[in-house]
Amino acid sequence: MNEHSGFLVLIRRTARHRGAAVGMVLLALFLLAAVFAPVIAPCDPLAQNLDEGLSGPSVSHWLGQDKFGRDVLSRLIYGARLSLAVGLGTVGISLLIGLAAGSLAGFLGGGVDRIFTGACDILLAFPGILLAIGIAAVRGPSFGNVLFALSVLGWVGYARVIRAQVLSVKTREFVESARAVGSSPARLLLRHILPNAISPILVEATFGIARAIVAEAGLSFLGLGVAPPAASWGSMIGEGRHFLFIAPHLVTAPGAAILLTVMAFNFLGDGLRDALDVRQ
Amino acid sequence: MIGCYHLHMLIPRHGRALLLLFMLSGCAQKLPIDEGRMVIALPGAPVNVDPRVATDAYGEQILQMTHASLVGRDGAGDPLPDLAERWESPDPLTHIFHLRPGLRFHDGRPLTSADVRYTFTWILDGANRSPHRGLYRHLAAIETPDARTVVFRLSEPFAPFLSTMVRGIVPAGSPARGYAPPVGAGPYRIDDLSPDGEAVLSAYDGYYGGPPAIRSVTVKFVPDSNVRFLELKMGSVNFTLNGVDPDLLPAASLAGRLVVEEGPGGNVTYLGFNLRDRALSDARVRRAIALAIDRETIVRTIWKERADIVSSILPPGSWAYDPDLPAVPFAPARARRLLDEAGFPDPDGDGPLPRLRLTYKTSQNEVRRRVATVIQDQLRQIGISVDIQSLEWGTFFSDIKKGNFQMYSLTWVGISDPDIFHHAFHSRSAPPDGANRGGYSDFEVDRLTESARREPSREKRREMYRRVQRILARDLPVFPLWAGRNLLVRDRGLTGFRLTPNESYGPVREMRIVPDPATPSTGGPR
Repeated sequence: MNEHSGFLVLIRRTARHRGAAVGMVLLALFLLAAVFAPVIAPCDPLAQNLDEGLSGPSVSHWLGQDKFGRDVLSRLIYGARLSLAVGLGTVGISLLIGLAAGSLAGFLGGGVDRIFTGACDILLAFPGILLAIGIAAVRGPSFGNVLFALSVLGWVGYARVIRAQVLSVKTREFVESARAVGSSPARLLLRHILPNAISPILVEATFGIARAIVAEAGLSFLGLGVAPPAASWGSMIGEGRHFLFIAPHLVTAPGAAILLTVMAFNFLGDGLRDALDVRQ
Repeated sequence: MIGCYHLHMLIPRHGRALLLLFMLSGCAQKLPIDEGRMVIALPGAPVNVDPRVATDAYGEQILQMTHASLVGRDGAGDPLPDLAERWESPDPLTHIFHLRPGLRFHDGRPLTSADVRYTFTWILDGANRSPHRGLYRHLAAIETPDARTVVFRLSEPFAPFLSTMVRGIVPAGSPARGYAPPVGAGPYRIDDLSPDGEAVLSAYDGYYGGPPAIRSVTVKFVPDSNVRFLELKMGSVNFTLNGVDPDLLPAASLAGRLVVEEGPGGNVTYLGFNLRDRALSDARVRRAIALAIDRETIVRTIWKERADIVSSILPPGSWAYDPDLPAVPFAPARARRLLDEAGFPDPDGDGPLPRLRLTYKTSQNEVRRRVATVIQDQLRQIGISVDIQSLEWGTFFSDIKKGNFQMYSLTWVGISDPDIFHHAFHSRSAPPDGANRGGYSDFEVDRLTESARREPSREKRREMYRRVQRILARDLPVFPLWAGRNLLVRDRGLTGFRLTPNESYGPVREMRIVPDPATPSTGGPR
């Protein structure tokens, strides 16, 4: 079985999980909306019409207009870009750092591993979201700063999981055989150990994306996320909450979008976990 | 995973009964106004409540109720007798204050001229690092010929001297005690103060103006505007000044027991420019920005008409305000022409490339962020791309004082004397000696503001400040935007408060609680 067909089998097995199938469909919809936002969005998400501020849903603006008279539906569609980009970007950066640090620590062992474990214990003692709020508050709101703030501690969890996996896999017979036939340490790690240690990380990453989207929403809600006038779902809720009593439509739509996306990633994670479970 | 459990799994049966009882008892709870208590909501906690060092608005507002000063201010910012029943100035360098008889601090100690001298000597002592020290640098000596007379001798004439005598007086020997305020002699004493909760004040029966009618005042620090609004509607807060979002005012008016009052404001919001910046050093660029901002629309839609457009940083009620200043109109076409002339042509016509990029710094205050977003969009229309940086207050203000900005917006709070022009625009008033943050320098403004602070005649000072305002309107080192109107939302049963342009809480001492026959005064949430 080659790698390509292995991936297809994984997708097929994941799709058999009912929740994961729903999650995949939802994510596909959100991804399509994010990619084709300029085509799908009915209005310019930045175009202001101050005199129509806080108008409710109408034929021309299906989800109403925000304080600045901007079309909520268009901002929601464009917001999918930022929210998903933050989720995928944060997990991507964290995965890269976590994979490198965790696999080296597990593979090399000894002093490197002890230093790594100590450093992880210290970093995990920081409350992640508080550190992110501090970083975002000092550096100011921007997409880059949100990615930085969420990735600073985000990699530690992945690194610990991959270290544990590497520690377990590196003592297996096939690794010993590869070592016996003269494989270099780099080849051992990259070719034989990592591919067999990475499954739990995939599952963890799907949950991580969901966590990052919620964290970004939290930062944007506090005014520390993306800089205005860009729209992210969190910033839409943050701006809309001030008008909760007179224009509740401003928070319900982005709130529902966050709920559905996080739910979709969590369902997908559950499905992936089942699909990768060797007992099945 | 708490969401996976049901309530009955988390709370035992007797606990649930207690919870239900608690919720029901909450419904029948008496509201503060029924107990004769006034509850004020402030949008934030004070940084300091010591009159010798406090500079923040919330600290000042509490001090207006708890500490008395030599003179007070009327609605126009003119001095009124407070602890001093009268004063005279035999020459421009001498000011003599006569204290009222029988004054006492909250702890019963008599208030004498020695306490006045101690308060100002403490501020002037460099070791105490009072931020108000610069304000009194003209003081050469403070003499106390008897217990009720204080003589201030100045090193040079300083016309705004009386306006600096609004500092609360503390007893001689009072050390700085961090967040714990020193004793005062105002109408209310501070019983308890917690920076993350509230200040509890009680009426001081020994106040020289007679004991206040409302015996207990609680000042709650409620940063979230929605929570303030909800507390007002529920009755757990019954008074807030400028604490309700203008968009929510119609909803507040609908709540039967609440009354909304409006009065002219003295706090002027402006757009500041950094004149050391290559683009913004050109007055044509600054004027183009001013011409592109549609203030009328912002006042109508963001402020809901509760602000007045101004042409000077002086509030319109000030005696030195020049009503004939030329107003900057909304004229985007003229703005584009000015940018062309200044060497910032549009690189691609209707395309996305901007003529120039600027950074606009603001705090995280929600209304300020809204205004910044609108200005960003309006400047985009003339080809200026604006990057908004909404920073935590400490970082923001530190950047502004260091000159680390291109554009920013701030509000001048409580301007009582036009000497503010010396503080904000004199070439030697760069921070920390003043507030000329943008690096403005004009020989004529320097000369006029120096002469005006030495001139005892108000008429002559008025003429000098009018000339200053005309020069500033020409150069636009800052662009004055609007003066926000003061908005009071109070329970119908609280009466007697006089709104003043400087947002003073001093008139709280004149308030009373009257039963409202139209609405039952007890019962559940309203």
